[in-house]
Amino acid sequence: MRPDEAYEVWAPSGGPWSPWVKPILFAAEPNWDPTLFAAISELNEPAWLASPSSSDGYRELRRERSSEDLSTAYVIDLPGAEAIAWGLFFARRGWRPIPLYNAIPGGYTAPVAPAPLDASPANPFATPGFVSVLPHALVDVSNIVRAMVSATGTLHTLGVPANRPPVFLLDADRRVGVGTPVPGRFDNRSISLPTDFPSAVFLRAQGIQRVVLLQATAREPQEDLAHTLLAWQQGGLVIESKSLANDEAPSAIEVTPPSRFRAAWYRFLATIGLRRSPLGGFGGAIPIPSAG
Amino acid sequence: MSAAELWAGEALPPERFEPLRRAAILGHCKWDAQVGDQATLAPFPLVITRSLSDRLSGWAEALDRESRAAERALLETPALWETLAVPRAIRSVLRRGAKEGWSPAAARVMRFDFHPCEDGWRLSEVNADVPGGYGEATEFTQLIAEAHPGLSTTGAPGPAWVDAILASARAHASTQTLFGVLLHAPGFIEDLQVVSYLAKLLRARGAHVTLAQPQHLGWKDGRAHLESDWHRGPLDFVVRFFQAEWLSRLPRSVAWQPLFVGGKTPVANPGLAVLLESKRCPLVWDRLATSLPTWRALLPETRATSGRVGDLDPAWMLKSAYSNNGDDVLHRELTPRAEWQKVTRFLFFSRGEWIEQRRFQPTPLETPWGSMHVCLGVYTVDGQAVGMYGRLSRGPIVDYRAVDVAVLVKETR
Repeated sequence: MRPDEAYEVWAPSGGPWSPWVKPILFAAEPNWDPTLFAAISELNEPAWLASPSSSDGYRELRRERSSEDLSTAYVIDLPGAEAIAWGLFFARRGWRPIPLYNAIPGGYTAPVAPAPLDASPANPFATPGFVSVLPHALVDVSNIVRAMVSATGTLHTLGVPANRPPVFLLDADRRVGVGTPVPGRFDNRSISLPTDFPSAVFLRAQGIQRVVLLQATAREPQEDLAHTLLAWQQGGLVIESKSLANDEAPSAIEVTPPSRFRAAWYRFLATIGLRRSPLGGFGGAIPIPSAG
Repeated sequence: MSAAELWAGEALPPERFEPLRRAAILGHCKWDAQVGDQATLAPFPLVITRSLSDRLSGWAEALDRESRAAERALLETPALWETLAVPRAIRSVLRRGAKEGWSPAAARVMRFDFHPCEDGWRLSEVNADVPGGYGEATEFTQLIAEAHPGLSTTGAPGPAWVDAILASARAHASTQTLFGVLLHAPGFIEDLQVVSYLAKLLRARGAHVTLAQPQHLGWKDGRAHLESDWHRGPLDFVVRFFQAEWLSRLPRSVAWQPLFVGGKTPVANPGLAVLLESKRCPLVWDRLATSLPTWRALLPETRATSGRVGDLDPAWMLKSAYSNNGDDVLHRELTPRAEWQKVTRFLFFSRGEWIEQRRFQPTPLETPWGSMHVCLGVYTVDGQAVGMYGRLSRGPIVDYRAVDVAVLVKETR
């Protein structure tokens, strides 16, 4: 499968959520043959899905009638490739997974066809595919790519209509990476920005009234994501959170202005002068991760 | 501005535009094609006449000549660098230039941003340090041109720049195979897509390149080396897509100084571009032994600020010396009140890093997306105009939310 074919699977032409699918991995990985990697194991139905939501007015999310729940969107913020398995889980129940992986593979640049250079692993400047250089990158994109490639075939088979409610997929390690940020490593960390998502106005226009944040342990959102959730909450959406560390049902949270984010992350960036625009991103050589 | 020389073409229908959009994002590294609810690629072109294209290109080449003459004069006048708000650490390094020699430029690219107004065209700035937009101005524009028979592009700035870089690198290199690095700031998707696009062009021309960050640079006898976990070895050229004024704020262990002085490896753009990048340059024009007639004719009146701007005349804008993408460009009535107050509250203490510039009245253009403001950026590479980058904004300030639009030329209307 070519990158454009894989992209069409995740971002079908004309789909309301397709513009938000992040293209970097599709642009960077030349081979999207789903048979290259093992299929992602199907997740079992967790007990909490059978529990009623703590928010009044919403149906409980259950397999047999999930297709009726058109007013709920999910944000899955889990480490590495874990969110992709959840994306398929919800796709089987009628949701539309929207990958928001924004980390550039380490040391790798866009492919060239026909490749003019020796692509052997001994030549680090050629186009070997990023798996061979990713061990040097702070954010390990290799597992995400493998999972995305594998999931593409499954998602294609499922044929989820493009206009189904979205499930946004994030790598929870995006801000801090994995391992020690020593100077020799490639810094491909990123933050999630409100501009990576549709606005509350757009979501509501599509019938979304409730957003459930799914995380590994915490209930509070990561500090970068809090900006988005706060804007959505102020825009009239109900924000709920669910920790996978327990079987409790999702419950409503009050997203507060992410002061710690500003204090720790933005303060650092502002101090060294690497803040370009309020929503434009950030930059630095091994920035100090925020405590949160 | 005359509607006879600039107009918006008709929008391609979605079924024709979507394949072009996908080609841009998947094949040509346009990775920020959606910003919030805003699509940032226009499905219609901006069409200009050949005479306007020639006029803007001519101005850009004149501005380039004058700028580099001014740069030479500035390099000989260190007393002016503080007025430009060049960071102290960089000023200290630049002072060594006369003795140690300036690091060679691999190729020099600038982009001059023009805006149509009722009384003619106005120049808002030169992006002399790390201008971007090459993929949009080259590949996306070419895709739109192919859908519009009878219209042609204004050039191909991406290929023009990398060809100049490689020509310079070959002149300095002792081996046939060139190794280069593209420095960038992590996390900025708008920067990552630029260096990825340039890397693609360089690789297609046989160069071996990798992305890296400034801390991966080492220097041996003035020659740049890559000192990373994935490769160590000498480099034949450095593409610096990392803003010069940021370099001085990196940890002391990062050896950025040879990007300015004492280096033997060609750098594009060389660090000394930090001088022309300063929006405070007009404050020292009268103290330079060079004339800048095109600059004086096209740039709005510019003056120092007292820092007390609570009642700043709405006819004036505030700009920081090193603003980018429209950030740190403020107007008392157009900027949201909270943001204005936040920035200007303590402006008195940093007034030496800001300017006041007379606001020009851009003429909105009717487009298929409604009335929008136009910015045409003309690139020069080593003094020659090589193409244009079009952006549209709904407000009068062109910033990171601007829409990229292909600029195409019609020979006769």
